Amino acid sequence: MTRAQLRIVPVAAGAQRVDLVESIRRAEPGAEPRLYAAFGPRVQHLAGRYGRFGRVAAELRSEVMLRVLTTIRSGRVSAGEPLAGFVLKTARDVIREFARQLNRRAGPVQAQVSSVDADARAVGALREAIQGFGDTDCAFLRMHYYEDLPHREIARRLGVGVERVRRIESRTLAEFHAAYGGR
Amino acid sequence: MTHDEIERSDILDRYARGELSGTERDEVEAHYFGCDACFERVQDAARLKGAVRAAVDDAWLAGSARGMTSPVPTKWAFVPVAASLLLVTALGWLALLRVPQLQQEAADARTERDAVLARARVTTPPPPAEPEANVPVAILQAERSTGAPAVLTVSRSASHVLLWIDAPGVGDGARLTIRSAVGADRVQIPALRRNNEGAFVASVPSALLPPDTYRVRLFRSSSPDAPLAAEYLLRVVAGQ
Ligand SMILES: [Zn+2]
Repeated sequence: MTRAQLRIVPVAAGAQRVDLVESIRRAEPGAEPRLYAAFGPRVQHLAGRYGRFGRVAAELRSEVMLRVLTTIRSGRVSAGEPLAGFVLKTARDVIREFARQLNRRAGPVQAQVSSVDADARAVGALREAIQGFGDTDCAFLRMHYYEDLPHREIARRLGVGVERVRRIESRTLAEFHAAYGGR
Repeated sequence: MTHDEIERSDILDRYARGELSGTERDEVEAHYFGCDACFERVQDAARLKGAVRAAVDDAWLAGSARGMTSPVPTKWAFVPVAASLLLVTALGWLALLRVPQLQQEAADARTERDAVLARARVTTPPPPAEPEANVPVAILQAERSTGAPAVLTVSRSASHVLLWIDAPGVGDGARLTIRSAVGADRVQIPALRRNNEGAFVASVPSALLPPDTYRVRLFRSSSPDAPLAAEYLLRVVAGQ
């Protein structure tokens, strides 16, 4: 019995990542870079949260993406298995292994939220966005991102409600996002 | 955890601050690995945090508000001359050092990605032709059926499903489409030919047919404007 020739047509957004697995298995051009573009930044962000991998960060991301790709290509990702969940699980495994290799303690790795490095593009975007910020916005930025104060405490210090603080956060983030180039 | 629940709560903020329990953190990560909007927000918050820290440390944002109890926030104290000098220095640094460095980093990232893709190709050639047990098969018989759908149970291990279609009254060649409940054609098979048993048989990757009710539509020839010859209802359900 010969297999009929299939042509995959675009489908609704929710199904596209399932199709991505199939496209990679079928070695369709562009499928692997699409996977890389979708998940590479997520893996990198996760790695940044779970420890200072520093110079091995790129290697860690490569290792995760390599494992994901080879598993998909060898047909070991079940049809219908959520791709995002599979990439996340692989990333956690690799992070744990790297942490062990770096003489960190084995077992679940702890989030280190302090491991945030300034990126020059972000600093430039903040310089641009801040032109439109008022005093309250700037005070919020400092208290929230520099002093790590929770919303409730910021609201108390600014003499406003927590809802207002949330709105300030959303707005400043949106302005920053636009300045960063996310328009 | 749904997108709406996340939007209505401050859980992403607490995630950024490292305040979540292990379970909550796992759920947030599972969500943003599949949600572009939430990942963007998480990423923006991390970038903004880094930028604010650099700005306060470099003293172009006013210093600490520690101890501030007044409802009126501290005014930003910019000394114009110092600020201009800092700006000129920063722009010079961006143009001379940081921009080439960023370009190099972007090039390195592309090189890294290409290396990974190449390694993946070497490491895993296309899967070998291996026998697959228990391939789900749907036999579609009733022409222009409007009755109960054929039910196809697809297990997680099934890579493909087989559709066996008896279609008397259709010529030797046909075109087939499989349409989801929302009306999107998920599969198109332009050139089907009858086998020795007189049936049309197609193998379809099971990933393309997640649980749903589909209309399997058979057209009289492979031509795009060929008339519809038969239509079958097919319900795909998930098996073990
Ligand atoms: Zn979301």
